[in-house]
This record gives sequence, C-alpha cells and structure tokens, in this order.
Amino acid sequence: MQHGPALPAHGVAFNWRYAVSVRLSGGLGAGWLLIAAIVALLVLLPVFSLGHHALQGSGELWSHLAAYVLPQALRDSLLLLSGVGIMVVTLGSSLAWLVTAYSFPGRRLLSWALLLPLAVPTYIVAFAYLDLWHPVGALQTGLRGLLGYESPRDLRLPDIRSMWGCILLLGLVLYPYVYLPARALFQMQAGGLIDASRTLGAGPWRSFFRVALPLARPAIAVGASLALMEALNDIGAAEFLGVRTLTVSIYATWVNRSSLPGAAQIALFMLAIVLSLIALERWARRHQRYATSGRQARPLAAQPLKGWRGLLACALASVPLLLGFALPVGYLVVEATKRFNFAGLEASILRETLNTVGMSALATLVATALAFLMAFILRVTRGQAPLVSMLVRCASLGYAIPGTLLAIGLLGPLAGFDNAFSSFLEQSFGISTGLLLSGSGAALVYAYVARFLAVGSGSIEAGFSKIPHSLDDAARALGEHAGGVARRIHLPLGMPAIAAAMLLVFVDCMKELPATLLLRPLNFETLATHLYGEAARGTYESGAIAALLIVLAGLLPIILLSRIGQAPASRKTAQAADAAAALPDLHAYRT
Amino acid sequence: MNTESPRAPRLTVSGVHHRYGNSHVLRDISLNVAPGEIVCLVGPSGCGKSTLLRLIAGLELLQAGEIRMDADCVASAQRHVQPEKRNTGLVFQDFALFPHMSLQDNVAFGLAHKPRAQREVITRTMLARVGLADRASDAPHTLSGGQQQRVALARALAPGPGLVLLDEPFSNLDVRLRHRLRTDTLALLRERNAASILVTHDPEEAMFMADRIALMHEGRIVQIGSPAELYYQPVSPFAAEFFGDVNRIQTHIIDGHAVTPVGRFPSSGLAEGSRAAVLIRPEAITLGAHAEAGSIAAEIIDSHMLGATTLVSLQVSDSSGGDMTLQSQLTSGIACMAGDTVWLRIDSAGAFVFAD
Repeated sequence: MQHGPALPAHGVAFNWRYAVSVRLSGGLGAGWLLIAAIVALLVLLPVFSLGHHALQGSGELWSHLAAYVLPQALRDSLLLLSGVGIMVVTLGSSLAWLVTAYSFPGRRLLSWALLLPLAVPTYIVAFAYLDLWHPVGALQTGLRGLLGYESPRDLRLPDIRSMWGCILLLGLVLYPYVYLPARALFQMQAGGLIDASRTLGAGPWRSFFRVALPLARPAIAVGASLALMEALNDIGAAEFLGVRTLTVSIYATWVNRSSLPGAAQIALFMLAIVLSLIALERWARRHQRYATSGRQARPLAAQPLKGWRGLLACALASVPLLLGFALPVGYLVVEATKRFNFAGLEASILRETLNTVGMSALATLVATALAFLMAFILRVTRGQAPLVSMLVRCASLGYAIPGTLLAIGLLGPLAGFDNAFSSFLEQSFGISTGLLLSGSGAALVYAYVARFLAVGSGSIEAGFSKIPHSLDDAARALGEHAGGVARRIHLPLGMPAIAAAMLLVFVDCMKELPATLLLRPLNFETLATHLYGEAARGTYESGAIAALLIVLAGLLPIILLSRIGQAPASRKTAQAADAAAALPDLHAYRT
Repeated sequence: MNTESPRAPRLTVSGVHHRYGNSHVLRDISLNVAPGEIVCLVGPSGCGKSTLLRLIAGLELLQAGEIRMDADCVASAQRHVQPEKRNTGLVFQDFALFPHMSLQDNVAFGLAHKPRAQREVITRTMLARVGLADRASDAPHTLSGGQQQRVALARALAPGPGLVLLDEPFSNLDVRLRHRLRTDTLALLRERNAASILVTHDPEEAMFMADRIALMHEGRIVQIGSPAELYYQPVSPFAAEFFGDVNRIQTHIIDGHAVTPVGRFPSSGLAEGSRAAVLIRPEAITLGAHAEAGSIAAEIIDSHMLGATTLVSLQVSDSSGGDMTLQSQLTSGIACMAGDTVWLRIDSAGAFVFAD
C-alpha cells in the first residue's frame, strides 16, 4: 500500500480554485455566496452609510452636540439601560424561579400569563401610564379616595415623567425577555441538579443562589441583552416621559435641526452600545450551549406552598402582570370603549389599520422569503463554508440595530438613489418622478425587512434544525437537485416554522415605531405613528383604539409562545408543540 | 490476498485522500466493487468509513484521488458529479424516510423521471417485495423500526441503482430484528445484482453480509478479503482483535519460532531474537481431561456458560515460574469446576504471530 501524502495543501492533484468555489457555496455554484453577500450588504448598508455621514462632519453643530446634547444623552441612555437591566434580571429570574420551584394557587395560569406584558410595546405602556398616573387621573384619585384624602395637594405620587418612571415602565414590559429563558432553563435543564442540591441538604434558597442561578446565568444574560436592545430602540416611552436618551436626541437632531451628519454622529455612540450588547449576547449564547449540552432533561419537581404562603406567592407573582399588562390594557379598553361610544370607529383608524397591515404584510412576505433563502443556504453549506456562514450571520444582525439608527442610516442612500433615479428619468425620458423609494413606502419595507429578517430566519433555522440532514441526502441520492430538495422537503416540513416566522415578523412590523416615524411617506400614518402623534399632542384618549389594536396583534405570538414547554399529550399536540418550538427563543420574539 | 474482484468492477475508488481541517480522515483508499457483490466496510468509529461512503455518494467533495462508476469518472479533484446524477441508492442509519409523505410517495420519490404508470407499478412491486403493500398510503411514523428499514431499502432500490450504499442500516434495530433483516436485505440485494457497500462497526454483521470485507483503521484500509481470510489470516494484531477476542502473549523469536508456555508457533519473516506477540483465539484452545502428547496442564479459574458456548478462564504456569491467564471458548459443555486441572491443546489455525 502506498502511504504517500497525496493530499498536501499544495499537491498537484488538488485543484484549489475548484475546491474553494464549490466548498464556499456547498457545491451549488458561487451564486449562493453572491446572494448571501448581497443580503448581508443591504442589511448592513445603513451602518456603513451612518459612518460615512458621521465622518462628513456637522460643522459647528458638532461642538454644540458634544457640549450640550451628547453628554446628557449618553448619561440618560446608560442610566436607563442599567436601571432596566437590573430590573429585568431581578424580576425575570425571581419570577421564573417562583413559578417553577413552587406550586401555589394560580401557578399554572400565572406561568404563561406572566409573558403577557411582552404584548405591550414600550411606547404604549408609557402612553397608558401618562394618563393613568396623572395627579387627577384614575390611579391617584382612586388611591386618595381609598386613603381618605381630598385633594391632590395632600397626596401626590412622584411624577412618572422621570428617569425612574421610565425605568419602571420599561422594566415592567421587558422582564419577560429574561423570564422566558430562565423559566425554560429551570424547568428543563436544572431539574436533576436541583434535586441533587436538595438531597445534599441545601434548602430552596440555597439551591437557587448556589445552583439554579449560576446555571441560568447565560440564559439570563441572553434575555437581558435582548431586553436592553429593546430599551435602546425605544423612542416613545423616553420621549413621553421626558428622558433624553440617545434615540430621542438622534431623532430630535434630525427632525428639528435637519442635520443628518449630526444625527449620524450621535448614532455612532449608540452603535457602540449596540455592539457591546451584541457581544454580551454572543458571549452568553456560547456559554448557554455549553451549559445545556448533553444533559438529560428532567422537569423540576415543584414544592407546594400551603396556606398564606401560597396566597402570598400568588399575590407577589401577580404584581408584574397587573402593572405591566392588566392595568395599562384595562385602561386602553376603557378609553377605547369611551372613544368608540363617543365617535364610533373613525375613518382615520380604518385607513391607518389598512396602512399598517399593508406595509407589514409586504415586509413580512419579503422578509420571510429572504429568511427561507438564507436558512436554506446555511443548510446546504452545512457550516463548511465559513464565508457563507459569516455573511448569513451578518444579514441577521439587523435585530440589534435600533430603528432610529437604521432609519438615519438609510436616509442618505435612499435620497441618493431617488435623486439619481429621477434625474436619470428626467434626462433620458423627460419624465418627472417623485422620490421613488422614500415616497412610496419602499423605504419603510426595506427598514422592516432589514430589522426583522433575523426574527424570521431564526425561526426558520430552528425549524430546519429539526429536519434530519439525512433527508436532504436521501432526496439528492434519489435524483432530486438542490432546489427541488428545498421545494419538496424543506418547504413542506418547515411550514410550521415558516408560518411562525411570518406571524412574528408581521407583528413586529406592526409595532415598529422609530423607523416608521422617520421613513414613512408624507401624510402616511400607521397605528403606531398615530398613537405617537396623539401622545405628542397630549390627546391621549383618542389614541386608545390604535394602541389596543397593536396590543391585540401582539398577543398572537404570545399565544404561540406559551405553547412551548407544555407536555405533548398526543400526536396532534406534538405537532403543535413542534410549531411552537420552531420559535427559536426570544431571539425571534421581540416587541 | 484477494483485493481484486474477478468481474469488471461497477465501482472503482483509487487513491482517495480526505481531510477535515487538520485531521486526515482517509489515506490512500483504493477499492473496487463488482455488480452483484457486497463489500462491507468495517472498522471502529471514526475510522473514516462513513466519510468514504459519503464521498462515493457525492455528498462530500472529493479532495484527491478518483472515483469511477463503470467507466465514467464521477469524482476527482477536478470533477464532481452531483449526487442526484450518480445512480446510487442510499440507505441511512436513521432510514431518512420523508415524514410528510406516504410510503408509496417515499418509494416513488426517486422515480420522478419515469412515466406515471410505470412509476406506480414499480412502487407497488417494491412495497410488495418488502411485505408492506397493504400499508402503501400510511405515513412512515406509523411503522415499526424494522418496517421503516424495509421501506428505506425499497425506496433506495426502486430507481434500479447500479450501486447501493448502506450506512449502518441495522444499528437502530434491536438484536433479534437485526438478524432477520440482515437475511431479508441480503436476499433483496442479491436479486437486484447491484454492487453494494455496507458500512458497519459490527464484525459479525460484516462477516454475515459480505462477499469481501474491507477493514479500516485510522483512515486506511488495513486488510481486504473474504470473511474467512480476515478471520483466519489477519495481517495485524488490530485485524485479529477486531474480529474476535484474543489471548495475547508477549514473547521472543527463538529458532524461527515464537516460544510461549503453551507451545512454539512458527514465525516466518521475523528476525531471530526480536520481540513478538502471539495472538490466540479463545475457540482455538480446546481442553481434555487427560494428558496427551503436546497437551499442556492448566488450572481452571472459573467458567461461564454463555448458551451455545462456554467461556473458561485457565491458568498456565510460566517457565519462569510466573502464571499466565488464558481464555478458552468451548462449544461443548464442560464438566469441571474451578481448581480442576485440565489439559489444553491449541489449534494453530487460530493462533497468529506478529512482530511486537
């Protein structure tokens, strides 16, 4: 037998160029590599353009921004993020532990109901509390009645329009980002270990702090980083509550001063925060994989809490649900009913609903198709093409880019394209077009797709991961080409995941506020921008119907999400659970 | 050694190397398979046998060497015929039945290019052949493991592939079922006259199924030949140990023989005085109650009845005064107890001498 090294890196028999081109594209031709590159480029274009504009400089404005705007914005943003971070971690992990480690009256219901605040976008919870918390609003009047005070002068709660109010409200609707992964981990992964800890003599408290919490740290960190990305993205709550975060400052610099370079300069600071959040999330995910690998899943046996302890647990766990969901949504229902009885369903609401649904549906179709394509490319290359994998990862970074940043970054390229295109048409054909992309809402669809592509591809990739690779191989060996495998195997088997992806993307598009505010065509109102306008004018009650519609849409993914982790009783429910599990995790589910 | 099959080969693999990153998983693999022949690739896990199968199927890109089907080159460093163009049938460890298709749709999957009527006839025939004609419109998940395996085989064979590749097709089944399906699969493969390669880590399965066995170790084919050749003429201690337990005795070569407490074994080609290992299969050690010419006294340590055979541990005194333990596997029952003295003989067909 010949033992000669016939495969040295520089062997004659080895055709590198051929191998590299086929390897990179998984044997499909370099076309797939090109597609991945284009999609990644389009998603990241706003970031590049942002850098470009910031480098242009904003002239004298910069000294003003650096002296008066930036320090305050950075301070407020960092303060807000720290506050929200502490709140979501404490609230999310302690609630998760409470509902998994103990059984008490109402636990089953609370276990999923605690997810409900996710359905309330930050700008809506702020919108509701502004009125609720008003010195002569329902909450404080009721409290005074209860305690026997007469006038607001005798008892007045601190003003909600403050940093602490903003932290409180954001924390109340964002804690489920931590609660959900922490609960899943306590339920499924920690069972055996916590049993071991208990049999070794550690009580529930010690087991929590010594075993469960350290084990859940990566999961909690992933959840927290997603919650913080959301907090950074928020524009409505901060603006309504008078907190001048980076997002608010960027928006104001662009809208009030019309300075794109100025806005871009502030946005670069925001980008630094975004990058550190992505780094945190990536780090945590790596450790999460490590923590959960190869361990037999065993559900944690809950300790019963009897008598007043059970009632206390129930009451404690109900507080976030009450404040983060029941109270604001109850307020919206009451106000929306009042409004409806007073004015009926206004034509403007119908038009805005149609606008919202139309734009969201269009963006959903594009995003889902691209997400399917990206997930397919990733599957065909099987991680053996590092460049393709990297490009696909880049294409799904949009979820971390705040809407404001995305929109400011897009303004430049869009205007450039529109101007070039219309002058081209004018010179060549003498036709005068308006602004093609900015004027038609195409810009909006672009921003939605860039921002929510990751939501879709996360869900579809999770669905694909349940299809054994041997099915692809079998179909190939039976004579089907790669595209045919996508059509006959991946599409039908991935359908539940694709449907889930569409739902998630659609609802996210409906709720999106900052990018919509900046990129919508003139006089084009969606439900979210309508609400923002009403709140900005101080006419809260007439925005209630729009807010309620957004919250109702937001409930749909939560219903889907709540089916995760429920024991499948039959084949049918197993399939339903599969569909739900196709939601990758909170990565795909963002307010 | 019989490394060439007598007929014109259907599949010719020559000089194949493969690397994943820094690990060299296949080294200079050459192999051919004739129509109607079944070749088993055996070896411990990680020896590269599955990679070789995937390269032949076209599911991995060949880095160096060449793979031919009949006269056509299907893979080389410059050429990659897509898996769907290679006319190979593939049976997977997990069966890989398409869960969203009925059995008949699964079997018909590879017949897309055939006219509808013919497609239906072939599908029906194949399902009937594996005894599942009445389940044609059922979904795969309603079948037992053995039934799924049969559908997987029917699906792979339906398009009439010239080469059938089976990747550990029985490893997901329980032992009893595995034995029955081996027989069924063998019959089905024989009647199709396709060239077949079966990957397994189970030496007994390989010996049962194979016309020829290719034993792989660390990316190389270390020995290829008939089951009997591999069992009775192993080329290395690894080959001898892979196909069954062995007693291993360290010794030296004296006068052209490996000298041990249980006898002298002729050694050809080993230098005088060099270190050697004598490997003796347990069933080559037979026991008698009385001393005979050439037999050696041993003391029984314990014995275990294993059903058809009995495993006996023996202690033999060393010339230097030490003790040596041997395992003997007897086909007949033995009426003896621990502590008894017996007389052992060694069948030289089951004893191998290698340089150590």
